[in-house]
Amino acid sequence: MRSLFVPAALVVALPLSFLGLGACSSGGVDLVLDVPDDPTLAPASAATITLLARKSDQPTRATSSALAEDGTFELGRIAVGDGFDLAVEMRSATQRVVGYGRAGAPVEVTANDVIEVVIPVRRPFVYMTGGGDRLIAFDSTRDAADPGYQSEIALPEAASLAIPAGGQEVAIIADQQDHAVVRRLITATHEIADAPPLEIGGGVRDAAASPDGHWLVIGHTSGMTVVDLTSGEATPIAGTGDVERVAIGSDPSGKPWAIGLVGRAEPPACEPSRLAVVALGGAASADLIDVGRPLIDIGADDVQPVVVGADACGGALVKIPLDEPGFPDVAPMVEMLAEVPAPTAVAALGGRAWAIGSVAGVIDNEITTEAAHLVLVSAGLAGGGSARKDLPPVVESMVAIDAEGQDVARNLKAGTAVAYDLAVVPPGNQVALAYHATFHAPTLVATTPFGQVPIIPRMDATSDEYLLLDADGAAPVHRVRTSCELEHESGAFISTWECRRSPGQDAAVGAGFHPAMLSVLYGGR
Amino acid sequence: MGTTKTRRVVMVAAALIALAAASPARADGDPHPPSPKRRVAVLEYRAGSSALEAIDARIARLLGKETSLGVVNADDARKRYGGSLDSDVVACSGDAACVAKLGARLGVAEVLLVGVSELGDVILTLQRVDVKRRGVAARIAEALAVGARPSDDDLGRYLARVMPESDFLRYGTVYIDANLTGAEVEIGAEKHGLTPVQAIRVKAPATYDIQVTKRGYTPFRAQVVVPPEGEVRVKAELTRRAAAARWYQKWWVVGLAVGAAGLTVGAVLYSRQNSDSVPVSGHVDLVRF
Repeated sequence: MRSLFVPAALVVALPLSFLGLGACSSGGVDLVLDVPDDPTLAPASAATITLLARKSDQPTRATSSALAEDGTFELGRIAVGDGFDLAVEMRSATQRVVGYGRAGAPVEVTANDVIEVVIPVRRPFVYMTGGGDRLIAFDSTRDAADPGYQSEIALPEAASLAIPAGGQEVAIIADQQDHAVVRRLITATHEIADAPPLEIGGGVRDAAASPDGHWLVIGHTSGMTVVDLTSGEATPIAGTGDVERVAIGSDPSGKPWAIGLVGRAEPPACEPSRLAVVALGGAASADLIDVGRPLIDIGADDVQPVVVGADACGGALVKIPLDEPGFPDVAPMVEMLAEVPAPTAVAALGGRAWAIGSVAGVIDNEITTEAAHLVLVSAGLAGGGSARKDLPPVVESMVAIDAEGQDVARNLKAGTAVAYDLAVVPPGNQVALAYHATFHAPTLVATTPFGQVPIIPRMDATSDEYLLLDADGAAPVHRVRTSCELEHESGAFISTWECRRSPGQDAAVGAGFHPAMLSVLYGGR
Repeated sequence: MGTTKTRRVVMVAAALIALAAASPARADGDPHPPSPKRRVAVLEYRAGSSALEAIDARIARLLGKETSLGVVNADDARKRYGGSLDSDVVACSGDAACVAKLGARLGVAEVLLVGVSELGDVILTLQRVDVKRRGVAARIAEALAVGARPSDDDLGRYLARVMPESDFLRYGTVYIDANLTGAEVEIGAEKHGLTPVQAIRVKAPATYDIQVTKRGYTPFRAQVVVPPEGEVRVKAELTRRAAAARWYQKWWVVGLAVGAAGLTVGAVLYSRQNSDSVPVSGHVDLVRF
């Protein structure tokens, strides 16, 4: 059969080859936007489609078109060439992003072939762990007035991390002390995949996935694990020590690198940190790089070959380029992007970096005279300056529940407000964050003919809040208080108190909880 | 004015006295040569001379081209250090410990201090300051005629005298992906074992003949250019030797087929030249709300 085929192929090929001379170009790109069947998960009210085509070292080219009633669209022309990263935005008639998607691999556009590119398009959900055996999902495309913007996804066990990998899956990592399990959540259904979970080492600290969903990197108390999500193979990386934060960046050639933060520096400890750098797809070993600055968090951009970091001791948002000669043998130079007061978390997406820091409250003789507040700073990775937004002072209301119908409230000003996670919603118009605040107020004493009488007790409170903010003006889109716990002394005249939500502050869906981390589908972290 | 001139003469004299007491130009054969990938800042120190304009930038460029060092030129250094860098270099007056402090602030392992002064002739000095040891690792001085402009070759020779020899050795990596195990790999007449082989480090830039052979299979041969710090991946496909050539393996049949294939490629290339973009369209099955 084989011996007959070869000569026959030659006989056929010869005339066809000559016929090829007269052929004309007929290439094209056929985009198939894969959306979930579930109407609560599929992009809603889409009116326009925008195609974002980016090639390395070239500016992103955006083309928009109206979406026809039958779901078809025409997006002009694209240059012939290879290595195009394609992303799609679906917007409503009011230009709100209602869906986002990204091709899983660079696309080659040829003059004579019609190529079909399937792009999973999803609502950019914010996923939050910490709620026990449920994952909380916030729909960034819905307003706070729409009660469906919060939902719960049942999990087989309590998860510590939820990391979107590409657009189709979220890696759900449950740490069980001596080991951890990784399950896959299907974004089109919000259900856990049937496949058996992957077992890895325990002591999980943080995780990150490559934008194409190929790689998942997990930081542990004793090293890192690299998971090839296409094959399910997990490779432990030892010899790095405690890796408290991880990110996946790429060098100018597009080669992905796992970056682990070793020696996370939280003031007053301000020793310089190191980065454990692993070439993904290469040897199962890490290079340790001295960065010369104490870092508390790191992130990586999906466009620029850059790792961003937060220096809480120096009050700075910094960038660490991955395109310097000799990397990783030669330690890259750390460059300052912007000043940030006491930053605790960073994120990067689309060539821009964000950091969240805070200004502590002013306390005078046990009384907090000025409440703590958060500060959101962003900066372009290729220059262009930075922007700072000071968020409103953090205040919680406590209300007396034994005041016989009288509305007695006490507003507590936060002494501290510390964000512990930050993520960017694609394409970069919104940021999501979670923070923890502490409050204290002394006993309020009244002088009466009978002496000093405590009227309002001493109070100590903590609260956790999730915020989805407009990235430009920092206006809140979602504001959810996930927990508020109050301790107060007994024996005061008004003796029983509880937390009360402020106007514009929603309660968490289901029971309250302490958030562990958050991430965004197709987003930056 | 008088003060300035006196100061200039003192600075030139100080520079030359320092050179007179200098250590040898370079300690070759150092059993512990510094990392060839260390970071080196090239800074300029002028003692009242405007000769040899932008000499530091030329030296930085050459150093970056000829070595694997992480070279920080003066522009980069100013961005990272701040606007006072030039005045701080001048204030150091060539003092190694002082220059080392600037290097530490720049985060580099060494500073190559390019000094330009005049004492009749133009005196060009190159001084390698080890930041950690806060001392001079090597230095040279050249007297040049006023108005002379050393070529890149000249500057390369100066650098070769002041920088360690190991800095000028550069490497690339060759990966051999063979479709068979147990095939012998030869790169530039040097044997590198049997497939599968690990990444092979070779001197670069250089051109290498690569041969992968296994008994009973047609040898794979290729020639590759390995750039410094570059990676070259060679996909070696070995095919089993046929017992005898069939008619379609005769040279004239193969030649005709290759010619036809070439014409096809030509046709494709021709059509590509006439079409540099293609239309984009698509569809999505969305439920309308």
